[in-house]
Amino acid sequence: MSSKMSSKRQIKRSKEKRSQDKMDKAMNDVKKIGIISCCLIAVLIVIGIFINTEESYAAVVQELPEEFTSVMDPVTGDPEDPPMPADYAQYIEGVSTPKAFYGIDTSSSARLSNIYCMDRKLIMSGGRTYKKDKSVIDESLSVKYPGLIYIIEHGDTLPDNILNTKPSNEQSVLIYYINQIVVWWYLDIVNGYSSGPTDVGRDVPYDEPAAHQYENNLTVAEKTAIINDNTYGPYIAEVLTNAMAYNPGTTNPALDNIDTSTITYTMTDEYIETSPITVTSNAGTNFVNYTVSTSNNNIQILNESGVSQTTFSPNERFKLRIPVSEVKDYKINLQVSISGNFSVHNAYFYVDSKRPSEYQRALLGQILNDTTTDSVSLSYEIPTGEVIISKQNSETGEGVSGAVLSITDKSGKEVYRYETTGADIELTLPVGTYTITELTVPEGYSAEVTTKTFEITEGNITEVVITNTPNIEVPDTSSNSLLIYGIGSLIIIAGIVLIVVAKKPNNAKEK
Amino acid sequence: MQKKNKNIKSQLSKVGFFFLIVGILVFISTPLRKIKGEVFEEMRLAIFQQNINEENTTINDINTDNLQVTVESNKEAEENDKKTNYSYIGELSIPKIKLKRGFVSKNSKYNNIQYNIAIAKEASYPDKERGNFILMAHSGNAYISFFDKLYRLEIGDEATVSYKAKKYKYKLTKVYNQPKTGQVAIYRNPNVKTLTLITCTHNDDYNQTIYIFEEI
Repeated sequence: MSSKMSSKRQIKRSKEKRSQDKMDKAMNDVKKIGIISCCLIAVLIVIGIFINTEESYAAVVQELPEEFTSVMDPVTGDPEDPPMPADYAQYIEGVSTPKAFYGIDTSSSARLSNIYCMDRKLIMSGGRTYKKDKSVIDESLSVKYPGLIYIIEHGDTLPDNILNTKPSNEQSVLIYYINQIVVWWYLDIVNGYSSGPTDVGRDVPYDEPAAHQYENNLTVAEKTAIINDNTYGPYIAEVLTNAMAYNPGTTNPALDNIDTSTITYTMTDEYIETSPITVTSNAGTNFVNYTVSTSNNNIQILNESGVSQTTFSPNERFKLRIPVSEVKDYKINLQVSISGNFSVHNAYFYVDSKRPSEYQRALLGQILNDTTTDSVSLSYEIPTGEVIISKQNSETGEGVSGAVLSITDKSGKEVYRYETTGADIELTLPVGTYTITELTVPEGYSAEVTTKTFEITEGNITEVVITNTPNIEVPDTSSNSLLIYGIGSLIIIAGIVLIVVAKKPNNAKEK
Repeated sequence: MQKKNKNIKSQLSKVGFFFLIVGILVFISTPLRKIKGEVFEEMRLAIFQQNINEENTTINDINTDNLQVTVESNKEAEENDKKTNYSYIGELSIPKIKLKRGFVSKNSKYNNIQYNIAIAKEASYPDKERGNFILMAHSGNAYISFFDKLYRLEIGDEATVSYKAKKYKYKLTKVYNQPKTGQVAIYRNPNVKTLTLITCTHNDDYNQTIYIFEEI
């Protein structure tokens, strides 16, 4: 009984122990998850801190909106409230600009970029809807402003020595301030109120009611103050000088036609190669690079050094290498596609959509990466000529059959072999030097010359005559009388010997 | 005994003399035959010239001073002709090597290098335009080695063939050898009339030499 009880208790205890273990394990897991989550959040926060730097509102955007809404600091909380007077910055004594003037997307309210006022005598205000007008270098403009493109493109920042004159929280204001001054002075130069960054120009009064009483954007006094400012004056002068000299290039870049008549071809046993081909465009320095392609994968696109390459900088030339196997009927026809990549620089006026005569024009810039593709047709016909080969009996001039002839080109490669039938044969061969060799002379003939060299010239017919000489039978024409002389000599010698022996005295017997 | 010896010696001496005479005759048979051939050659050439003179007024350069054209001489010539068994139809003359030999018709059985300089059956006679007159003969030291001195010829040497009362002059332009195979190829200019002489190469038992003359 007691053993039963104790076993029941033991079972109960073990069950309780297992439950407790499970609980402990679950709590440990929760702790782990919590720690990992906190770490992840911390990491995200840190990343967010580093990424989420102060926004930079460049005046150059990839895609210009058709319209935007202007915003001028300080911004009121309620859009229905009337706009407050703008905050102004005055980093050069006597010269002030708004601290910020920018556009926001009309639909999404996302901030676009800084916008610069073009007409200081007119009103500038936030909450206005601006719509895109002409390019600053539009053909229809009597006066064009290419320098504005330069100013906009270089207006994202300032050199460090300029930027660091202000703490980081004022640097965006300084950027806007400097660039707005440059824009106004540039406009004064183009409109004839100043001749350059060292000329204070003249004041031309604007009689209408306005915050700025002059036609010129910067007054003589302001220009004087800028020139005399040692901190920002020199930089402003430098930017103005560059803007005055700036040429944005064409806004309609295109590849120039390639004069295919100047392309020459070099032929080897394995391939035909073009001379280096030059690609030019009307875009000047805005021509970034170009890419060459063909639909035939057997054709190699090479640089001038013969290394495979498909994208080239504007001052590089390319070559094409076509395998001989691509030649059909001594002709090759190629379609080569050349894609030119360009950067297009432009800036646009934006005007107030409702009262353009009362509000200042605004300025936004744009750099586009434009691509234009051109196709070049190349065709090449291997120059050929014809040869008529005649195998003749040298005596009668009649055709000889049964000779085996081989024709090789100058590299020794056999291009044709045949057995003569007595009739002439006519072949078309690429221009060059060839050798014809008689490999087999017909029975009953001899050949004094078994090889002959001939030249194929373009569009001409070359005649080659190979002759065989018929053999004639001849008897053995050697003759020799030495045998008779020899026999005669032997007989004479024998006679002399016999006579000498006969005349010899018999001395032993006489004794 | 002595008598016997004497008789033997006497017979030996007679035999010895006999051998000596026979040996000398054998030894001189070749030159004798050569001299005989030259004599008969002169006769045949004279007959050949005589025949030409009777048919044409052209006088060739064969020496006919001692050959009087009389009825008796004609008869004699005819008899000689019969004795010689053939008559020439033409003559080859190469002054540099003092060669002057007649040749018979291609169809004659004496058109054979064992008797004369022979015309090859593929040859054309000298009167054929752009033809090739081919003559063959022995060289060596036999009495029939009519071309034995051809090896002395040089490019530019001249030869003359008289045929049908006309003289055809040639100049040597090409000399080359070919192996003795029973056949020979004549590498000539087919656009001109040529004379080709073929014989064994001098001091060479394995090759034959071809001399090509072009008409001038």
